[in-house]
Amino acid sequence: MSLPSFDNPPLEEVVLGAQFSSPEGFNSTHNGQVWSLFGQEFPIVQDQPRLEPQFEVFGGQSPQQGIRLDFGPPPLRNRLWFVSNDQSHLLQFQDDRLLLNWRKRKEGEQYPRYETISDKFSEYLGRLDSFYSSKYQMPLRINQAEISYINIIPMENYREIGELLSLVRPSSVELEGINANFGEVIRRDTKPVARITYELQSVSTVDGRKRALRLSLTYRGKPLLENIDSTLDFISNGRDLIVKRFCDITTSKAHGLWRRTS
Amino acid sequence: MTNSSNRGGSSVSVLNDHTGFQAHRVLVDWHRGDWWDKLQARFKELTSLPRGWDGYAGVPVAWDNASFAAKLIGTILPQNCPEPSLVPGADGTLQIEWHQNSFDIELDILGPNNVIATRYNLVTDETNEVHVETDFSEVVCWLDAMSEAGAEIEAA
Repeated sequence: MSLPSFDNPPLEEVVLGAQFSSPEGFNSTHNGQVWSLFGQEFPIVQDQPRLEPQFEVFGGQSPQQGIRLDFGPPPLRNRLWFVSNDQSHLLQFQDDRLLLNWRKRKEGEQYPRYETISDKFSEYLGRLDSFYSSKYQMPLRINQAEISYINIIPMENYREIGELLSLVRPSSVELEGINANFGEVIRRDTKPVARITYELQSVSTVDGRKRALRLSLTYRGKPLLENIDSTLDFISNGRDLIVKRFCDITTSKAHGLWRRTS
Repeated sequence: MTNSSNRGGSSVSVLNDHTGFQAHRVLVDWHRGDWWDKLQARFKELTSLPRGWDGYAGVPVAWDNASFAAKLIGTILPQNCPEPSLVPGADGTLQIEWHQNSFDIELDILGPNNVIATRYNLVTDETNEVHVETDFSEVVCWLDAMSEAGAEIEAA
């Protein structure tokens, strides 16, 4: 059965990512060699703060309230952004993470579709896997994978939220702003395999003139196996679920606005 | 980077970098108790151990293992759970342990998503052992039982 599709979705960003074991022997001087794997497509380089490790675990009583333990500085290695010339694609690399972001740069820009982004991510993971295998004698051992769809839904008055989202339907409440997270555990044969996190957040431009709702859906967990094929399977399953859930939590009026075609 | 949640959502998004939209949220972490600060200090100590700390070839607790252990403690421990001990392994592994209320519970963090969990009941002499990757439901039941046993002892 084909997935729901939209001609004009409110999609602003898609992120595909993998987290893996850091190879022993990696140091910051190797970042240049990693960039040389991707420099042709991503000529612009920026330093960014390192991402913390992410692990989805199950069985806790209140996972959304999980507290964070900070125990000093992480390894002295940065995250790097490798940015494409048109700035629409961005590869995030640190020794234990690789993420590919597509982001909408201007109004009317067409979403290149999941298959295109996924093919690119597969190719980039393959390049890094070959590099790690030859330099550190260790292929990528992937322990978490994720996919995020981030939507920006213009909304001048948050009272309207119920007209577009069936997840939240305030009746007479004059909402000033919204910050809400919802979690859903995804199971296969009763065994938890992933978690979808739904994030709703009111956002506005710096001058306060434009308001919108950011709706993010992230599917994250441990792939069945540590290799790239298993990771891409996991991400593909996540994409299917995210698209279905997006339709489930939005209204038919919204589907009309975004021109649903199937 | 966005000001997104650290609770598991789209922390890898770079959207705010270019849309101009800013979040309205302030994140406030809640605090578990007095032992939380001690635990953070202990994690710091174990990931900073010098090589040969055990008099042999012991290495510090691996960052990945410590991060995974911290995630576990932050998400699966019941609210009334007693303070755990953190014990380093010479090979960079880590154990989270409780020895109280007639139970010995040990989580041997061999790697992220690679945990051997054991429970020994001192009263019945029964031992349980499970290998856990992501689903810690059984371990949570053990911790609940240990915590409840503590409450009963206090009430008696």
